[in-house]
Amino acid sequence: MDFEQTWAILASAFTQIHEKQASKLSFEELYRNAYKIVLKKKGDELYLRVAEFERDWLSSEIERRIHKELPPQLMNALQGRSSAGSVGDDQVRTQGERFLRQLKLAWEDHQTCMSMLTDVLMYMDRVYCADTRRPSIFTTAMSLFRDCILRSHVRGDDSWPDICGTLNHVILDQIRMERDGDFIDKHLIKANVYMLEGLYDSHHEVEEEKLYLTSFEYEFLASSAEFYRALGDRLLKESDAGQYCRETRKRIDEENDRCRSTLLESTTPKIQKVVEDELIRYRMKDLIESESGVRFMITNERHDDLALVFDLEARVDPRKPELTKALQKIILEMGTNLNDAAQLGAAAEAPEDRAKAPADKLVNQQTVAALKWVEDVLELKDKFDAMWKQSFQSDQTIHTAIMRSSAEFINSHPRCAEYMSLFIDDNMKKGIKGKTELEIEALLNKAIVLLRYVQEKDVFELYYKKHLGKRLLMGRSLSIDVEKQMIFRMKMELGNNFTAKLEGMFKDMTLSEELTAGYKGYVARLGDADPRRIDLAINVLTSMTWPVETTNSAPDDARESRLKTIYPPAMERIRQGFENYYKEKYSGRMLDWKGNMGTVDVKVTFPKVPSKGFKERRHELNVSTYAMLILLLFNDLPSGASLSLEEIQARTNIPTNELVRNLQSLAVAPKTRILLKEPMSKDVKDTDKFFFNEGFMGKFHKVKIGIVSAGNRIENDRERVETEKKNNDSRGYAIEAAVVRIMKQRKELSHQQLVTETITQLNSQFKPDVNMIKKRIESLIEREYLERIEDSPSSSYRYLA
Amino acid sequence: MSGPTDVLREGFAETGEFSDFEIVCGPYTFKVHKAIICAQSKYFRAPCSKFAESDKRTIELKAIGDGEGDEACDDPDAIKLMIDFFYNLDYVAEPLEPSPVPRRLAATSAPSPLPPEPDVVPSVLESQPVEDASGFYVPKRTKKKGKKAIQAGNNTVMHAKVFAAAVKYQVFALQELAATKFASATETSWNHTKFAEAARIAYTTTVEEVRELRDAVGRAIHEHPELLDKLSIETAVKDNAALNYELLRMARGMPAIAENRVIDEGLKCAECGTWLFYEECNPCKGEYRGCCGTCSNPNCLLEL
Repeated sequence: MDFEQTWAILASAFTQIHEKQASKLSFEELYRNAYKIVLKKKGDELYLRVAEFERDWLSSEIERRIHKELPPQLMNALQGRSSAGSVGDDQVRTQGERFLRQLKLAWEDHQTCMSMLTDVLMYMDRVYCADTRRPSIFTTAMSLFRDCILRSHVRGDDSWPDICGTLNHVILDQIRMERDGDFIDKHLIKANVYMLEGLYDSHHEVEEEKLYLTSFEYEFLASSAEFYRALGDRLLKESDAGQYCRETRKRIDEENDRCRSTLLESTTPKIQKVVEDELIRYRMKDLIESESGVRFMITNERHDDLALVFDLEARVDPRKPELTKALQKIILEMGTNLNDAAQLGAAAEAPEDRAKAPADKLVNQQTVAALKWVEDVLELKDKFDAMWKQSFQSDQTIHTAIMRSSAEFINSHPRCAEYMSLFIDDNMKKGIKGKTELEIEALLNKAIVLLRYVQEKDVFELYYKKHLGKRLLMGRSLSIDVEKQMIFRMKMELGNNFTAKLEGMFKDMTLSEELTAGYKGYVARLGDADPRRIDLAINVLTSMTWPVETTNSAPDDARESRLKTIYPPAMERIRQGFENYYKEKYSGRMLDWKGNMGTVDVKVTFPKVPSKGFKERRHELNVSTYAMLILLLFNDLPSGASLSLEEIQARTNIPTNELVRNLQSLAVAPKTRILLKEPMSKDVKDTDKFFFNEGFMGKFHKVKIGIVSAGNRIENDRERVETEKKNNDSRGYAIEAAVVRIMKQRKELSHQQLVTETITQLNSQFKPDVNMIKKRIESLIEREYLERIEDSPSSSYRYLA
Repeated sequence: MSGPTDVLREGFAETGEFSDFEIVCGPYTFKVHKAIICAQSKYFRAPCSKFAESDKRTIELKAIGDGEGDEACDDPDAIKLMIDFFYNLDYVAEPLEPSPVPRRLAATSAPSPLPPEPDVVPSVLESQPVEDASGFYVPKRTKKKGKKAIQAGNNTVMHAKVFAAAVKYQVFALQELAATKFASATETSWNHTKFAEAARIAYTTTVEEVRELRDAVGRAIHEHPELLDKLSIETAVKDNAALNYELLRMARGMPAIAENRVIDEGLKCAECGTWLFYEECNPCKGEYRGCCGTCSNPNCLLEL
């Protein structure tokens, strides 16, 4: 076999293949000849000859064709891209496209030809290349394309980038045009990208050395970063935050699409990161804090924009630090504003020692402010909850942030616990009227949610007990069912401990009803069916369960309250009767009668006053027990006679402040003026005289005479000091109990640990004051529950059993 | 019986129905189906889709004696069996005519006949390469375990030709089948006079890296040294240097082909003067390319 002769046949056929005249060639002949060469052990030489042939072809014919498409004008434009601006953009673009087209064509031709050569040389590839571990002839030919074409310099001038660099420039230029809103030939670019993807930087065909990665992608990312940095600058200056977000969103989608349609999908995460870095990560803070930023969006309810901000920041950081920070700040600010407004409303009229009536009015005003505060807080919370659902995809981090800031501003209001209880009270008495079950349910939920925020749960409990007590005793609650539901919810939320006493109150009420019924039965069995007998309904309250305020009268009257109230004989008989009945049932219990808490129905006959044309009128008055005592005094008085305040007090022993209040409702309130006062003024003074108002006119048969400011309202300063003191006392007990519990279990403990554990234990109820804990520990040591460990390096305690 | 191959044979191979391509070789014209031949052989994909053959829908495989120089041409009968295989996944080679009775040329007495051919085809045993008492190296038999005994007949010559065609046309399944049949036929028919012809074909129609047939031939000659007395074998061995060399190695108790060749010739890098030994040029870190890759030697054929 003559190698040269056989090779000549192949070489001439290869030329025809490259010149696209392969359809006349006999595959069988070519294959047979190549097969023959390999069979004769000339595979090595054949391989080298083919490579040489390809090199010649590429660096003469193909290189010439490519270089022809790179006129100096285009090269200059690409080089001076940054300064040239858009002058001659169109021409550069057309030239660039022609270059891309030519390169694409060359690459595709090369591949087609090489696949045909590979067919012919299949035997060589299989036998020779496999045995010598040479790259297949196809691979070699592809590397040749890279070396002869992509690495060649236009007109041999090294000062210009090689074809590969030029290609990058042209593609990047086209992408720039597309980013600026032009249409470009995506398929053309994609074809060239495929070429770069199919080639490697060296003859080691490892994934990381793909030309696309080593040559193009790097430059693409760098130039994109530059582009988006500039865009970010411009957008921040020129657009509002919402627009910025929408633009960013759009750009991200665009880059996604670009990777799919023009480049490679593998670039998607990388370019995303570039855009996210430049437009989001480095800008988020500025964006959120900008004038049209998150604050503006919240104020103007731009939910879609907020959702965008959230979405964008979530892309770069799952913790969303900037948005969270901004939200917290804004919530805190809005909350503080509410707090300030409430304070302002409460202090609208500075409580300079004024007379009582305006003071009461002031208190009412404060109560309204307190209720408004709670409603405002709820509204704020609803607003952010809605935002959380609508814009923030119910994100957990955001939720925590909102919770935390809400708790912070709510607790920064010193009277939040009282206000919340007041809010529930108001709703129990008025708010739930006419509401559907669902609405009530929602309301209860709201109340519980707020309660969750309150740190000083013990203070809340104190107020709630007080308010609940009044509601129960005065029958002011619209629905005992709802009350019980509320307690049930609190139990779920805060545990048994919290509600035990509240439940006790309800139990007392039920027991009292049974007692009353039992007593009625008992009286009936006595057979003493006196029609003039007074009906008695009684509430027996466990003194430990019920708040002390409800059972005690105001504190400065403590001395007076010890004086026994004087009941008229008819009343006294019943009182004794019941006490006997009760003691029979529960021996050893003390009953303490609370005249300020009860009410009485009194039938009154107003005489005929012919001079004024009045007929005789009968009314049934519903008055407080004390008022009843006062009125009974007038029973025995001749018409026209009067009693002074002092006289009334002397004959009833009613505590002064209660007396004043009752007299106010009987003699001052315009619609229920059963008594007349002299002189007629709003204030009640010691020397005032009171007459029975024979000319009383009522529209209805039944008249309810309320007690002035008996309803639940905000506490005045004095009351609050009292509440605080009481609360501190109960906290003291709670701390002592906790300390003893801990020490009993641990026997010995350092001071620091003891304090920490105590705080942890009590955290669900309130935030204990460290000084208070210290004092309690001292007190426990004094009482020999604990002792100091003498020779311990840090101060420590031992439990004394 | 209508397995998938029966369907193929009855449906297409015998009728030529739906045929979309023709293979011509010597006196034969086969009407075939692109889908089937291209599935079996990578070779046929090119003429089925490109080149002049795809236009004409015909490929002519040059047969021996067509005047093209015989070395790379085909035996039409082997091609026929290859195409049989495309449709049947098996082929059957015509049995050889019986050998003429050999005569031993001796100065002494009457010719003592060589042992007769066994009547029964012994089952092929799985065996490891062993060194027998005389220190000969016995190549491992390539028969695979678990396959049912195949019908190989005694036509070692035709199996060798089919094998060569299978390698040339890259029909891997056929390559394996033909090699097995060849080895099996060799076991039974090593004594046939045509065995020398088969040995020649085995050593000339494929490159030495393709071992299947060569190993079988070497093993047979090695196991039956009396073969070397036969004139036909003597001629065949003398004619083929590779067979010579391999038998020598086996006689020395070595594998027929060195597992690790010692390379002691090579080129000197024209630039740095390092001996390359067909390996990497260390100073330049270039792969062997006839030169070390950094030189500017104008005779350098390839600079990758």
